[in-house]
Amino acid sequence: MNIQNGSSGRKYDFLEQLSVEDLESLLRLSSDSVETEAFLDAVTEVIVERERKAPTGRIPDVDTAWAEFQRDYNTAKERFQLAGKESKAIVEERRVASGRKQRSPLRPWRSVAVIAATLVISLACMVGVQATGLDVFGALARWTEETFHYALPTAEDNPIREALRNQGLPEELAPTWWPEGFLPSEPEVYESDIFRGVYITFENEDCAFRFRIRKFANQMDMPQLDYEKDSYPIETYVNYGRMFYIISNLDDTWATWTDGISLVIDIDGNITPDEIKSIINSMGG
Amino acid sequence: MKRKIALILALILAFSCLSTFALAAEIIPYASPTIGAKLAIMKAGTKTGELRISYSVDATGDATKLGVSTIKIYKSDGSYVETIKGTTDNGLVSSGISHVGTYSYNAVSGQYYYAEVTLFATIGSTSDSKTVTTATVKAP
Repeated sequence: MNIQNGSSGRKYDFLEQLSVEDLESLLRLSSDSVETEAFLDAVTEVIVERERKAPTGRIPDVDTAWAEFQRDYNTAKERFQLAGKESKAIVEERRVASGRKQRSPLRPWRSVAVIAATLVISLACMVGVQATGLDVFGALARWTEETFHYALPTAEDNPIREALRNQGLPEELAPTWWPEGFLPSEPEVYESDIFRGVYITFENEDCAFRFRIRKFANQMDMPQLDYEKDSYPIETYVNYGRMFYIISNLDDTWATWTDGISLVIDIDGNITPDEIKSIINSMGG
Repeated sequence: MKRKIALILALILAFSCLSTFALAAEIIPYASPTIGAKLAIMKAGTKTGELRISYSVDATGDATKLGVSTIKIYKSDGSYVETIKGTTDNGLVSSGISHVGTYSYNAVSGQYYYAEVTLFATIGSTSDSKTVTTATVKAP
């Protein structure tokens, strides 16, 4: 870049309106794009020009900077050759641009290595799950006579999400984890003048728990829903900003949450509070 | 003299604490072996004289029978009007993990009523019931 002439053109005239502090903040941007490089050069130009017109000491005198460089860096022990003649203007630019993040020449390769490692680990996990008998690749694979591609899991792969979506309920509230060995029943819809709800029972050989989500037609009716409890203290548990109240009712543990507007979610059964919390954690944000 | 007063106050405090413990031992927790949550609300219907009683009972397991055992209708002055018994035929009784619905009752237009709704759930050989009293509503 030719600092005397300036190559930024009129595109970045608005930078003239910013304070030096704001301009220096902008210099901390980091990107490999050509456009960002041009923008940062324009910011540097404005700072240097202002310092020339009204020196504040923010940018040290060039001669002082050069002397400091000769003294501290170009020593007999660590002497190095500069490529070509270093103009005083370029030294001045580098001092101003010192606020920029240092971009390593290895950065692109580092990104590629991270992406490659992520892909390898994901593939290894999928192979491992496939070995357990779950057809992961089959679930992801989609093809026609002409093309083949992978697809992400959809609501069709989680019947609870589909049931919520069909009833106009937020499908992200569907749990995506439950204790091993439990199988979900077909979702059932319950309806009255007061609310509409989707209920699912999860069962194994010995016990069961239930997931209920209700949407009230009138917010004023929500406090009428009473929960039975014993004398055991109520525990609270927060996830994704939702505060669940975990209630003990003899052999039954009940976790309930409301958005205070129309939704109530209940999870209850003879499972442990920790298992209920894990189910709560699987509900999206 | 001061010591005597302090001793008397200490004895009074001790007896108060003992009384509290005794009272606490008599309090019965509001829990249920078969009912987890319940709701009963009565509102005016859209037809003349119609009262709509909405109910919900959630069992703590798979119930062989659950729902509404009775709906007792009273006038606002407490005078008894009628009892509706819950059956599978009238839809007030079912089976499963929950029973939810709305029952329509024909009342005298312009009169004020409230209802005592008894909800129940039977799991295996264990049964429990809870009664909810609704707000007073004017029949349209």
